[in-house]
Amino acid sequence: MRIRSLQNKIFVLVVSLFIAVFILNFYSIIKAAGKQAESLIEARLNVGKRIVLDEFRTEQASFDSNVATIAQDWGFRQALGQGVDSRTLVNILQNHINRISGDFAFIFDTQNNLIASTYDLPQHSLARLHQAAIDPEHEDNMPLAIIDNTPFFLSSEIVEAPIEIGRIVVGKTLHSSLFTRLEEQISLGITLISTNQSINNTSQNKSSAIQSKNTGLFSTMPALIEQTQDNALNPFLSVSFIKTSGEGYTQKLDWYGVEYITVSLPLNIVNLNSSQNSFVVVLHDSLSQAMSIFDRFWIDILPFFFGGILVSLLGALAIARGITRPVKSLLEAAKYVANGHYSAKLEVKQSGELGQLAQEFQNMQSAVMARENEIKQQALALQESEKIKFEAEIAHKERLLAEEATQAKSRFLASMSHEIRTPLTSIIGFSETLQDKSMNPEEQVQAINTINRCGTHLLNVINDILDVSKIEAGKIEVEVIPTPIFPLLHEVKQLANMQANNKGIEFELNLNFPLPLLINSDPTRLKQILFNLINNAIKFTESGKVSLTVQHGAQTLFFTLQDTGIGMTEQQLGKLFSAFTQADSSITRQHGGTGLGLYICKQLSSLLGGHIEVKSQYKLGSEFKLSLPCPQDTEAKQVTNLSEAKRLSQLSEQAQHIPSLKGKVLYADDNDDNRRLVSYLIKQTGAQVITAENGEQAVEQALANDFELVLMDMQMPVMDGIEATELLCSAGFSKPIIMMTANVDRDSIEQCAQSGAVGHFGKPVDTLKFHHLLSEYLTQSAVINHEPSLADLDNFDDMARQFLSSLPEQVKNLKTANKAQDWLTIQDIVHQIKGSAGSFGYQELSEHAATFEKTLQETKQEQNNEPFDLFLQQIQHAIEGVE
Amino acid sequence: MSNIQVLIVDDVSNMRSLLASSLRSLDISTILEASNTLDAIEIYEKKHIDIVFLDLHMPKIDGFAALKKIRSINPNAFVVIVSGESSIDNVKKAILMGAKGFIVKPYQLGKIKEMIDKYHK
Repeated sequence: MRIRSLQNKIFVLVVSLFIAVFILNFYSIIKAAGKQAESLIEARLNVGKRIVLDEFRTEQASFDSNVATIAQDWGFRQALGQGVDSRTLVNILQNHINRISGDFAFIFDTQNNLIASTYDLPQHSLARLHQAAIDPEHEDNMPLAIIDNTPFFLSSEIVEAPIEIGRIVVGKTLHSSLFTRLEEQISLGITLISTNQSINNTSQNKSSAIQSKNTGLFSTMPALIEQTQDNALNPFLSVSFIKTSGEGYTQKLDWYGVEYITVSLPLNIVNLNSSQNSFVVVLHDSLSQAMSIFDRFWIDILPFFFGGILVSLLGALAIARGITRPVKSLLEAAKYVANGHYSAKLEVKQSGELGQLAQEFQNMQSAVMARENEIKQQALALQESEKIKFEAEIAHKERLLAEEATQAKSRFLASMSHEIRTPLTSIIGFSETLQDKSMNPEEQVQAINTINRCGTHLLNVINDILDVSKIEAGKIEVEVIPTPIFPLLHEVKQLANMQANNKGIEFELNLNFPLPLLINSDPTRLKQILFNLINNAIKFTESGKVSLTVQHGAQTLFFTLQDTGIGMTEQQLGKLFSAFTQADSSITRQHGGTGLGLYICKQLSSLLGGHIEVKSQYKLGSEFKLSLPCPQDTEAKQVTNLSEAKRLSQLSEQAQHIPSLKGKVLYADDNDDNRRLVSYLIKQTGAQVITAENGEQAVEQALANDFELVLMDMQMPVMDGIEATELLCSAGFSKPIIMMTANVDRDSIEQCAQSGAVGHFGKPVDTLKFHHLLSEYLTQSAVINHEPSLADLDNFDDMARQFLSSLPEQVKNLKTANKAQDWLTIQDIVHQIKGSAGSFGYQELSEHAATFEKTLQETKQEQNNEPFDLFLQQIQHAIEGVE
Repeated sequence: MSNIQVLIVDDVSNMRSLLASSLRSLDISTILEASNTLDAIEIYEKKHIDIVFLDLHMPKIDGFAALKKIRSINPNAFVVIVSGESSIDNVKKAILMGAKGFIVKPYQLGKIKEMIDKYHK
């Protein structure tokens, strides 16, 4: 920016200097030209004056000689001498002047008395003419007379007869032709100007232009003579400036203010028109005409002017750049250096101060660069040694980690092998004992139970390992769906109760209402986490209790699991959630387990968007807190009390019951076990099943029988499921065909759809899902329980609440009837409760009512007080929502 | 139900009657019958037949020959096999030869209806 402005300044300075010099030069040229033109005109005027005067003198001389011939004429002298009358004398004069082209003549005697005159003028005028003609003082000056605005030459001659009688004076018109000729000859204007000598020095009186009537020669002289010659007889003083300020004068004033230059002729002019005015004849030339060459001059000079401007622009630019460029490169180099680029090379082209500056800068730069390099090298050396140290440290740590990992893996393998071998040993051992025929049935049952338990445990171990490997491979997927939490908690509680009971400790489920009815989560994974945590808690608790508390925070659902177990030290807590690690490897031997459970829990909970925190006091117990995201939605249904929660969990239990279906199902599978399992599951629902071992059999069966549903294994010998399905569809088979397959990849599913199957079902068979599938395609055989579909009604919840609020009234009625020993009424009420309690999801109460009703029927009215009180208590429990 | 012509080909007369009455119950009134393959082909050539219900097991010339001939007359012929047995070989053969359906005797009314529905599709 600064460079640019400097450049501009220099540029403007140089250009303006050029223009100023040009203008001054031009002005002086104009001035000189003006002076030149003036002196040129002056010279011309003087030459002109001489020529005109010569011409006039020649004319005058010839006129004078003509007049002399008259004066010497004998006849004339004789007549004059004889003293003829004046008329005769005038006639004689007339004849003579006609001869010499004169215009008038008159004669004065020596006493200055007029003798005769051809011109009828007053005597004093003639006397003035006479005086002018003979004036001895101005012999060189030709006399001119102005009579009636006409100029005349005058000539006088002494007449002797024989003595001097007097003088003859002859006048002759000055013809315009003479002036025209002269003007052409000298190329100058000739003008007769009248001046008023008395007002010579005053500007107020103006001389007016005169016109020559008879010649037309004297064109209108429009100018005013401001300063005329002081002396008409001194021609060298007659040069004057005629300013163009006259009336009616239209010519524009030239810029230098000079219009005309004049010179007056030394003529002795007698003006008979006025005694006041005197006349001068001037030659004049227009200066402006002379200066008109400057018009041409302008055209010639302008290209030079603009050329000069251009040259000065370029020159200025070159000069400006010549100064700023090195400054700029210096500046840039300085910037570069400031940014740490010491190697920026500064080109030194200029000599002089700037060049020196650049040179010095360069020297400084290389000095700085050298120092910088030195520092850099030192830093590098320092870094290198640090790096070596750091690398060694890393390598050391990595080695430690690797060792640790290897150790963990070998520990894991050891514990796995232990975990797998232990149940296997039991399984093999007990199954061997079963071959022993001497075992009694009780022992046999025990052995079978052990085998079963060990098998289950083994399965768990393997499942855990599979889960971990899936998690580590990132292959585990969660399916987040709206999940009813109460049925889920119910299931968890049932399992936890069982395990706790087995171990002789207590399990407690605390629900802090209100809780949402549904949460968005993966029910399977959530269950898995809770099972794992509870398993863990029970495993490490020898006495006391394990409690699960569910609480809804602002945005989170908390599951807090507390136990009164062995607890953990800080150190153990740190390793708690790592895979293949238990708090203490001795624990494995003491408590069993794979050490994978908590790791799985932690991974799964983060997949569900939550996390697990743990607090523990050594030997006092632990607390695991699972937090899952669960935004509070005002519109979502909230459950506010236990009875409602219980009812909800029971309802779902009902829904999990095996459906009751009818219809015929064809199941094709080459695997015996699968055929048996699936057949069993189908038969469970009450539906009929026919099996086929391959596709061909399936086609034959399907065409020959009437099936509601065909289940086709995808991979079968002889003819596979796809081919069989295609064939059936071609043969017009229109009942739904479901493909059973372990391959749920996209290709397989697409193949299924293309073959004509309406759906696919993943193997291994999940009982619940399978029953669901069957209910979808088969018709319900009968309505089980008390219209379970009631729960689908929109106002079912309201009706259920109404039922609950009617119970206190029923209790009152029962008590009243009991007092009155009205057993029939009691029976009615109990029957009523039995029916409605079941319908609205209070299964327990319904069952109790049924039992009591039976008792009433069996025992009639005897000894019913005890069961009556029990029943009232159960109703009360239902109202309060107590277990 | 529909304005279609059906040809029943079976050598057993009471089977033809049963099928005919089944079809009538489905509102199909234009029913032609043939007791052997030759008659069937003659009728098929002369009349405009929409659906052929064809028995496989017939004396002299069996149903497969009839199916083959009919398909050669009209490559788009809609032929439904009605057979006493559903051996996979027969099913495969019939489907490969272009049968549009395979019904196994004894059949239920539903199967016939399904075939009519399939024809209309």
